[in-house]
Amino acid sequence: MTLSLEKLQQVVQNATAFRCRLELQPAGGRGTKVFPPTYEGGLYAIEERRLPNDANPVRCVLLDSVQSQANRMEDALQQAVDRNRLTLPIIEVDFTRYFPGTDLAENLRLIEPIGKVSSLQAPHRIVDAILRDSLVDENGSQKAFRSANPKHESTYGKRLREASARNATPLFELCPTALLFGMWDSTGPKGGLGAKVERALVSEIIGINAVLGAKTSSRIDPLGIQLKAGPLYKTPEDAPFGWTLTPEKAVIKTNKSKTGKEEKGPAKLGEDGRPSEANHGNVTPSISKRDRDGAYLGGGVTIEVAEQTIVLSLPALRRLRFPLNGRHDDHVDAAAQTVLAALGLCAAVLAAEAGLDLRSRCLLWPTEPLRWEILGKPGHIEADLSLSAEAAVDLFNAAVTEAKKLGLPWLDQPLRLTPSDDLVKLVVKSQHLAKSKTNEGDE
Amino acid sequence: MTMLTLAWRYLTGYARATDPATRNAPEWPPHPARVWLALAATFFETGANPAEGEALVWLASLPDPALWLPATGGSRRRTTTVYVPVNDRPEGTGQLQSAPLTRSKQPRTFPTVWVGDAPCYLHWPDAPGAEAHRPALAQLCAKVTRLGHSASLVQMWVADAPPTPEAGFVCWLPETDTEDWLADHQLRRLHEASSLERLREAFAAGRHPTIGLATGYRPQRDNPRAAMTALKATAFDQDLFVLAQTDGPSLPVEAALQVTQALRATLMRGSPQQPPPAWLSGHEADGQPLADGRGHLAFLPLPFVGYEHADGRLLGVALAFPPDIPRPKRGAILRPSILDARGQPAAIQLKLGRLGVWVLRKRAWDDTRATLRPETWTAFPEGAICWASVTPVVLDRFPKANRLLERAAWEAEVGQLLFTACRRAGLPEPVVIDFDPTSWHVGAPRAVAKERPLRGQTLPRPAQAKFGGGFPPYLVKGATAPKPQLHVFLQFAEPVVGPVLLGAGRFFGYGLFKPLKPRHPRS
Repeated sequence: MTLSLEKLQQVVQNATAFRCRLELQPAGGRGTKVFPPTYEGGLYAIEERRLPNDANPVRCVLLDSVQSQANRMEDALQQAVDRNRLTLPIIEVDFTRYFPGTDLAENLRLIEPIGKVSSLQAPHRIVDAILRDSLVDENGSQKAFRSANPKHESTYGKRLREASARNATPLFELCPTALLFGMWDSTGPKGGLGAKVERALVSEIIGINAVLGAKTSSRIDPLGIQLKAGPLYKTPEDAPFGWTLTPEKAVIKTNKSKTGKEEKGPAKLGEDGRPSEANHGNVTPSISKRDRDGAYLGGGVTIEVAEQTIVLSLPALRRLRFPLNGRHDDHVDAAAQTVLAALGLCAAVLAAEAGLDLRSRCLLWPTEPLRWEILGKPGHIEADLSLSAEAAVDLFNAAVTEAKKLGLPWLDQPLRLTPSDDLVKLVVKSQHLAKSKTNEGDE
Repeated sequence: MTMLTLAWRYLTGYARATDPATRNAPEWPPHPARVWLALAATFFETGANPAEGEALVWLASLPDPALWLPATGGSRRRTTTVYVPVNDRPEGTGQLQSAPLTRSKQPRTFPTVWVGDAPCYLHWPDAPGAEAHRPALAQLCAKVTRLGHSASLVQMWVADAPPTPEAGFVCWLPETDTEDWLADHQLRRLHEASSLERLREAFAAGRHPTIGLATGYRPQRDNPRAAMTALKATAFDQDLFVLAQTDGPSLPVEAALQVTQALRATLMRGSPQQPPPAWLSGHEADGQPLADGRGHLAFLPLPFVGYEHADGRLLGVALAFPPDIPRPKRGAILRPSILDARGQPAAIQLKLGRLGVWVLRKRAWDDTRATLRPETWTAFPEGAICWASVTPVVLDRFPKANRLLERAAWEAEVGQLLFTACRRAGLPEPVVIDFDPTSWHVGAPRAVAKERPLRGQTLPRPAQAKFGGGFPPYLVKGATAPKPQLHVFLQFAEPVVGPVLLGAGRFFGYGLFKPLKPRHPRS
């Protein structure tokens, strides 16, 4: 079964959710190792599940979290926009002019390029501080995108102040993905009382029946450099390499001797001038550390199967209202909700199409095509709905066209913001600091 | 009677909600109050339909509901700390944090519980007026999107009836007595209904409507099969109260007496009634031992025994109450020792001298270790036919026959003593009695340490050297020599529900039996 626009409109108004459960396997084949995300302390997010055919609980491991999946879907949408596969309201902060920025003052010149940061990439979506601290060109004058002082605030910012679930029109116009993945305007003019929108789309990947493995690390130096061949000394910044074996060429540093006297002498590289400070020499083969229970930390897992669950909640979309000029109209609400549902399906399908290369050594591959279920009334499930990426984009475009006909605002071209000078200076300063920190780290 | 059942299903299979008491733990079971707050939030966020509001107010006026949860659900995901990028603060710090390189990340946790596809239910067996509010409630339920965190999507509806245990559900019942501190779980409850206007005021001010503190819940234990067969039970209530070791050294079961005695002393000290009641101390107010046949509290050491790799380690202690002491009374006396001021399980420290400090806490109701489950020791509800001791049974008196010279007479006499002990403990007459210094359970040490003649030492009299591994002797107060202690096997004609405790040391954990799968006793 495929999904037509009429069917989608009907489902959005009546059903509970779109759901997709996808079976995945490691790309290396059944039983090969994958690496889940590690959390503080080198831990994996592990849980037990009781499965129908197993008397004992089965160990499961989180392979990709809800938050991470949301970012991957936004990334897939961003790529589709960049390749002109679809158009979507996007707000971009453009840093391109500041790199290399030879015509600008030194404190406005970036060391590393940043390019454009869009509302699909900023961590807090449209309400992110990067967007807030940028300027937008309105009728020839530069205004702050958002500001606590209404005098300096752009018309966009003023509209965003009014945004809520009951008045989602400004968000629909400027950043519909915020309505899908959720947002909290915690740093806008209203502070913690700013608009909160719940996420409507949730996706997560779990590895089932996981067995923890171990990881080894080592480096065998083909040059056979020995520890005792050192010490290495630190050279001045204008020297070609960061180190030398000749103490006379080294930087002079004041050291405290064991007796407490201050002595001047050549500075050793790193702590004690070992060749490994310059990344030379062997690394003793070692096996990953163990936790208190004896399980290896960060050693990857082998799994029986991985399962991705995507759920798009339709009551959450139905809760959003889209008044036009202060007046509510059910047809308008329904059209906007349909657009958001289509956008959600599009995001999920495009992310699936982009592949599930989650991180180093964790490439998963679906063993079956993406199939959607429509959860209707309790206990009633309409299954076996397939949707290709092209079909999803077409459906989305058709839904947008319908919504525009009813007068819903929709930003077709990206809204370009320029970062405020202070923001650029802050970034430049941070980049300088980061560089000097790396240098300090060498000492 | 009109009943009302609300049901919901976690669409992703996961419940994500933070336990209000500890930020890093997931909330499970879901609190009735959380369900009600989700309904209230939906009510306000979807236009505050007056009929729905009245239904909400009416719902809060009902007594605490029963909770039906899928038996397979409820496994917690290990809580990991995630560092999330913060949006900068609107004022104060004097420095913008929005630049990608300076943005700090803050730790957060997303506590999660796996539930699966099966729905959860709140059930009010008697909800007068339900018919009038049902349409509005159904309409409101259909609009609920989440329970807890925004990734905890649900589908909610008004169900016709609660599920059954046969379908794989467990019923949790509220304790009628709210002062029962021994309940397995405390769940937040709805507060007395406030008016619609009060609700609206609270919402407008950004406050949660008021909810009550908590009510005790425990899984329903009534099993139809158990009701059909009249089971024999012992002089102790099968409703064991289990404390699990959470800190301190790992102790072998041979240290049982030290642990149980220290625990008894701690509970005696913590009792708000001084001197403690006779059912706790085992003594009358004048210090005389209970003599009129009334039972008192027994302490059961819970060792890891009876499995292939069992090593006889103590995992916790259970309290077995005399059945005639009502639960509220038990709770009132023990509460100061086992719960802290917030109603959370408190750390009970047992100072064991050179063995170190042992810390016990009320067992978490979802602790999966079989040794800490009361049913492991009581065989409730089916009962068990064969039982064998894990700690030695101390004979009530010395046998008159000489064990070495009159073996047959000695065995007959010991058998008779055990027979009497069974009768005294309220057990039916066993059909098979067997005894031996070695336990029938893997991992349980010998009843007494083995001895061998001491060689190479010149002592005034011939001395014995002890081998390792064996229970220390149990000395009855006032006795000069320890009475014989043995491991015992019992087989009954009909299933017996425990706890089975026999012999002189039974109140301190000696003579504790564990069900054994039926098989022939050793010849």
